[in-house]
Amino acid sequence: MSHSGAAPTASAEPLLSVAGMEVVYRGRRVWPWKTVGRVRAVSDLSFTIGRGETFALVGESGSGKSTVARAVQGLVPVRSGQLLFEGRDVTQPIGRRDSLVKKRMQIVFQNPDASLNPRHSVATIIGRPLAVFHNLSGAERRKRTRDLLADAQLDEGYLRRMPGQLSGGERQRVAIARALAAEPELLLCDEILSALDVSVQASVIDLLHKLQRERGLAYLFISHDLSVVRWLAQRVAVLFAGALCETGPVDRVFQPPYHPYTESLLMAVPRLAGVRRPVPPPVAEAEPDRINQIGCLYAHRCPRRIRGVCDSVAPPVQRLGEGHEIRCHVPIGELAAHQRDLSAGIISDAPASRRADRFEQT
Amino acid sequence: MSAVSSAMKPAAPVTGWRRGLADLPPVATGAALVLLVYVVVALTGPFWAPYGPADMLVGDPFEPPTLAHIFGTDNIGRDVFSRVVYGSRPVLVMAASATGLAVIIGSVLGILLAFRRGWIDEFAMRVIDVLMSIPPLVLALLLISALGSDSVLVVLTVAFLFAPRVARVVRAATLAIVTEDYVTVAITRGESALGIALRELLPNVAGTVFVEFSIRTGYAIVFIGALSFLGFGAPPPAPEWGLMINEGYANINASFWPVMAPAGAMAILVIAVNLFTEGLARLIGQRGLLGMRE
Amino acid sequence: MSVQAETETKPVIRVAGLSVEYWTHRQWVEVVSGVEFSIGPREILGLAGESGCGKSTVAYALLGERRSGSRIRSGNILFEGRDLLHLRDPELREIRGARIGFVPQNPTASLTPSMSCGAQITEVLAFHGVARGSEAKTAALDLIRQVGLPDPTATFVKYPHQLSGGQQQRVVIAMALACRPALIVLDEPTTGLDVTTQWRILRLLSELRDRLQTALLYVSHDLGALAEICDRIAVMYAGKIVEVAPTAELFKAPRHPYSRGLLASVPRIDSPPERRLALRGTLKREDMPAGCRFASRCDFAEQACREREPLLDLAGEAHHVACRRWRELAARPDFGRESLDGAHVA
Repeated sequence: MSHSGAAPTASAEPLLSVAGMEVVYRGRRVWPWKTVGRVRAVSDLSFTIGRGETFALVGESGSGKSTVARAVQGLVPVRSGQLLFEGRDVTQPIGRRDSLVKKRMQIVFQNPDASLNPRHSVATIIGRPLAVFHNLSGAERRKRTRDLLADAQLDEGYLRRMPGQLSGGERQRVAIARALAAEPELLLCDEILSALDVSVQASVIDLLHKLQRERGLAYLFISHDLSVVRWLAQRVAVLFAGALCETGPVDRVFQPPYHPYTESLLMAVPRLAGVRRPVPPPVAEAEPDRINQIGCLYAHRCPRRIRGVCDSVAPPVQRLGEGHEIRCHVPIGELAAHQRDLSAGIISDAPASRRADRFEQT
Repeated sequence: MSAVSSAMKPAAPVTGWRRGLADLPPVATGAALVLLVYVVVALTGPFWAPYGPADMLVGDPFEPPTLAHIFGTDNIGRDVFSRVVYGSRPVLVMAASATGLAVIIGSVLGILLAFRRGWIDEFAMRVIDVLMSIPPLVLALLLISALGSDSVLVVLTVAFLFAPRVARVVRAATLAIVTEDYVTVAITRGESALGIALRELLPNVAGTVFVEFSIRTGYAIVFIGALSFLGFGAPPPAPEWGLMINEGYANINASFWPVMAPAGAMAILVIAVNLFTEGLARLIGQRGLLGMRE
Repeated sequence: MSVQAETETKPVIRVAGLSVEYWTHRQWVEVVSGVEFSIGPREILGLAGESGCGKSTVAYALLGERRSGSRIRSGNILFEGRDLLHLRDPELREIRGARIGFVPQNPTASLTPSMSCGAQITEVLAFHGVARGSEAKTAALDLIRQVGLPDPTATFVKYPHQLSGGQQQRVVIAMALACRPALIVLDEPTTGLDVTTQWRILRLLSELRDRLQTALLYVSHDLGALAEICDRIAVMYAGKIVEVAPTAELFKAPRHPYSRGLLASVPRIDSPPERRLALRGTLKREDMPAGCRFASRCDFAEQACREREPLLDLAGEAHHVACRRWRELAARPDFGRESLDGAHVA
């Protein structure tokens, strides 16, 4: 495997440890008796990130993955669960966190247009965390700013530029440089590549690799793009409707047996080989009830669901070794028997009709 | 195949904001020049006005305009032109300071409320709603009757009346940007609310603030003029334009100049302020705040 | 050396010598230069490229859109016997929406929030005189069903905000199809949608093309989506088409250094992560040499490349490349590319 970054040793204390995290959006009270928009954004999520490791969180819209990043950062309140950073409890909102914790955990956002203050120059943008976190000023701050720009592979000439004069890729690099200014141990990357062009994504991925090699940075990498995750992360967790479906080392998660949702995600990724894919699964009629449902939240659209079990009983954790877990009622053996390896270039040599009926089984 | 090359170089910069002001539409530039004339007159008037503001019987009463008295004389033979010139200073000073005060207080308040939200924002907005629903002139008269018609008190009263309006507008402008990620990043740095308000938010609503300042100045001029017309400004023989209109109004049949001259001066001033504001607002709308957008 | 559809049948639309300029930084800057292509009936042509390459500008030109601050410097667009660039507004309005449909990028922004979905579809039908009243309603219900939305009667009365992003995009597609156009132009129609939703929409578009015999121009930076449904793909860089080829061939054997670099930089789910940066630098308009526009970023550029603009050359069955050196490069072992089983690029 060619991923850079030190693999965490089992005995080392994890950098970030999340256990049983639950985040609920309280919604709005439109009438004294009626509240709308109340939703459990994240339910019972647990994972750990070791030093220097890249841990990815994948899911589609509504999966809660961005919420997780914000909760870890303290921007969104955690209703229950444990959150430990470098062994210390960080369930407090960001305003009440220790300044050391604030320094060592930084976040980079998705939208390059919104993450830089349009009225600040690049020098100001990067200089501010240097002033706040390290009390730097004057010549020393200027020097550090230049160094940070160089780390983000930007020339000194960028110092006086305004964000409006930069391209999307350049802005993301400035955002990364700003995050690095605090000298973090953990970088939360919330879909930071989604708004960028393909070739720019590639160069930012390279930058992330380089920074991890040089500084031993760990990343919590949030993305909907499985291909990027394959290239960047060592371990991954797959989320659906706020619940964890599957987690483990990237290579193992992308091989069968899969959680049915992971399977559907992998099927949905377009292949450049131009191979015709089978029919997509039909659209589900009903949305899962995210507040009250106890059973599996994916059951309503799962082609492998077991009637009477999946939608009423919480799915058990099935452990496959090396930290690979799948939360599903369908036994691993059965999944392994029916699922094809979707990480290869050619999806399947089964004729389309045979694959179609696999999706019709209920 | 090359590995990552050395640091990226930025594209050539585009013209900055200084050129921006030169792009004001011609009407607004003209208006700005007119405003400049008023300011110069206010500052230097006492040095070159032909007569003092209270000098009586320098000519016959109700003389029509002549070379000696450009706007003629009023009922007690005072030179109208000189009085108008002398009257420009109190108008500008009072309007500018009242507006300035209102805009400073209102902007900071509006930005902080938009940033903090929550019950304090709800409460403050309801208070502002109540204040704004009282006819401003009535409120002003009440306050001035209670507190006196000292110039400073008039300025404070006007500022108190305008600040809520400014706060509301600036709050709305701030709400549009307060959820942007760069503000969130500042929050994660642990910066104070006031620090974020001034450093992150204010520069991005500066355009709105400037436009509000211009708009309110126009209103302030008329408002202060109205107050002095009603006798709630400085007492006679102060050369305040509103007062002059009041004094000349009774004898308008004898000569309309004592009314027209100060009225016209006020009207032209307000028109110039409005035209300038419109040009400024359009410029800011097109070119982003302070002309930085290309 | 024009780039035509390989069939001998008359193309649905033919673009020749299209050049478009934008007013920016106090001067006219050419964003599309001499673009030529044609689309055959029932063909799906993809227009690929990154931001700033001009592909959206081309799409809008096809609709006869004259955006403020832009002007067509030259070229013609032949469609159904007329040149779209030389038509007056009333004639363009007849064509737009009726003969050429359009699906823009952000469905939430393209639908009127205050009108029900059904009403928006019937409005299109009525505006172009295709159907009115109850006839229009029947037609609209049928369209809703054709784009795969469940329960047409219920969907007809729903407002856009009551639908998901994918469902909204289907409504927009229904509106584009309503008058049975000969061509539909799509500008990044699945960007921003979930990958499963994207899969469904791409599938829908394929089916619609088969069923309704429409041609599609699919503009996108998403190579995966293009690979999924396009018959041919034209790659644009800095306002010019640098390569056009049938889809499978483009991905198997790209001949232009930019296409090759672009394909190599796409993270692949189906290939191992061993890879090095394939495209250095970025698109800088000020850096354009007189010759090939990609020269400053090209690993294979020679002096002659910088001086002379390369023209599109025939490099295979319906495969055109704008590169002086394509023959030499194709023969080089280190210009090889990933084969389907995932070996990496040198």
